[in-house]
Amino acid sequence: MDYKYIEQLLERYWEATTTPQEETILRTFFSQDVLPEHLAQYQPLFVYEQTAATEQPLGDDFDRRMLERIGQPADEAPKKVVVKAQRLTIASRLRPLFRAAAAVAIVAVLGTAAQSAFRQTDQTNEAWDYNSASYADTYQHPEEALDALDAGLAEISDMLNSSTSADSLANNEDVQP
Amino acid sequence: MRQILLTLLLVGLPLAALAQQECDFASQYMRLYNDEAGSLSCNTVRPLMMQRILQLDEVENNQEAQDIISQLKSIQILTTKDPTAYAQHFEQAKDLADRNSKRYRPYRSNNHSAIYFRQKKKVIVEIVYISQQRHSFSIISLTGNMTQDFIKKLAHI
Amino acid sequence: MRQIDFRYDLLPLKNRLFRLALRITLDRAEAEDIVEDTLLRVWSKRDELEEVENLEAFCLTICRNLARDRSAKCEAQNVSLDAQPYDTVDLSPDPQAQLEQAERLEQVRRIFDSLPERQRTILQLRDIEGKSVRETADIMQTSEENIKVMLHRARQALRQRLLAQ
Repeated sequence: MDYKYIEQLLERYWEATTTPQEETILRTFFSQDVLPEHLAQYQPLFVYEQTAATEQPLGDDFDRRMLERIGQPADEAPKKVVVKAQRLTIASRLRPLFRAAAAVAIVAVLGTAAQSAFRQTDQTNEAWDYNSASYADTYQHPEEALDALDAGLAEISDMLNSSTSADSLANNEDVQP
Repeated sequence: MRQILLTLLLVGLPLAALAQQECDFASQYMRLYNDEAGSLSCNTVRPLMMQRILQLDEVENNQEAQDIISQLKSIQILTTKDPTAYAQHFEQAKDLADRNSKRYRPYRSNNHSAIYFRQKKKVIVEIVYISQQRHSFSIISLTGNMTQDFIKKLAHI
Repeated sequence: MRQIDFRYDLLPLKNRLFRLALRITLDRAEAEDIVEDTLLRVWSKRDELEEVENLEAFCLTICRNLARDRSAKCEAQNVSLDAQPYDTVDLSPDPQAQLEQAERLEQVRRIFDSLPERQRTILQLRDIEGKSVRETADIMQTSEENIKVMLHRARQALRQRLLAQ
C-alpha cells in the first residue's frame, strides 16, 4: 500500500503550507482504526486536536450566574431580540462535504483495501449517490458560482415559504424512512 | 440493448432503470427533452466548485451560509430560451416527476411551482424544484445530504 | 439596528473562550474568571459594537489579552497541574486500549501546554478551533504572514516533542 500522498501532506503540514481541505484529509486519515506503524505515531496528535475542540466545561451553572450578574435572572422570560441575519453558533465539526471529499481522496489514493479500514459511521455521508463526473461546471470562479447558487436557493426558499392551498400532502413535516 | 432502452423510454418506465449511474432530475430532463436547436440549457455547480464556494471569505465568515452550503453537493439550473414553451415544459417536467413517484416524492406544489424530494432512507439527496413564471421556466436540481432541519433553514434564508 | 443578546450571542461563546484562556493560563480557575470578565466587558460595551463584524473574534481577542495579562505562571514552569481526565474518542472497544489511548492523548496535551505561549495560542486557534489564518491574525493582532511563520514554528516544535517521546 502506498502512503506517499499522505506522507507528502504530512510534510507540508509541518511546514504549515497545507490548505484547510488538506488538513481535513489528514484528520480523517488519522481517525481510522488501523494505521501503518510509521504513521501511527502521529495519530494521538490529530485525535487530540479534534477532541480538544469539543470540551465544554462551562455549563448551565455558569449561565445562571452570569445572567444574574447582568440582571437577567435565568427564569425570566428572554426579551424579544432583534436578530441579525448572521447568528453566531459554535459548532466544532468537520464540514460534511469536506469529510466526504476526504473519503473519496483517501480511497482513490490508497486503493480498495483502505475502504474496509475506513469506516464512515455517519449515515448521511453515504446517502448521496450521484455521479458528479456526468456534467461540467458552468462557472470558472466560485464567486460566480455562488451568485448562481444564491439565486437558485432564493427561488426554492420563496416557494417553501409561500402558503399553498395545494400543500395538503400527508406527512409533509416528516422525512419518510 | 439500445432498442430495448428506447422501448422502455416510450413506455415511460422509471428513470433509474435507464441511468447507468445516478443522475439528477435536471440532467435527465435535458437528455430526454432537449431539442436539436438546444433550446434548453443548464447551469451547473459541481461538488468541487461547491467546496471552493465554501472557502470564499464571505461564506467562511457566515455561519448560516456555511450551514446550508456544506450540506450541498451540486446545483443544476435548467432554463429554456423559448418563451412559447414555458407552459409545456412545466407540465412535462411535473409529469416526468409524477411518473417516477417512487423516486421523486411530491413535497409541495401550487399553480406555478412544485417541489419534489428524492430520498434515501432518512436523507434527502435531491430537491427538485419546477417552476413556471410569466417570463421564465426553470428546473432546479439541488443535490446533497440534506435533512428536514435543512429544509427549515432553507425556508428562512 | 443590531442588538446583542447576552444569552443568545455571548453565552454560546463561553466554552471556546474558556479553552483559549485555559491554554494560555494553564489554570482552570483563572480561565473561568477570564471568561466571565471577557463576557462582562463585551456586554458593557454592547452599544459601541456597531462596527464589529465578527463578534466571536472580538471576544477571543479580548479573552486572549486578558489571559496574557493575568498569566501568572512563568514560562519555564508551564505544566498544567489540574488537567481533567480525558473524554476520548472511542477508537477501540477494548478497555486496556482505551486506557492507553487516554494516556496518549494526555501526553499530547502536556506537549501542547509545554510550548511557548504564542505557539500554544496559535495552535489552539488554528488547529483546534479551526479558525482561518485571517481570523487568527485578527485575534492575535498581527499580520497573516506572521501567523504563517509562527504556525510553521509551532507545528515543527510539536512534531519534535512528539517524536522525542
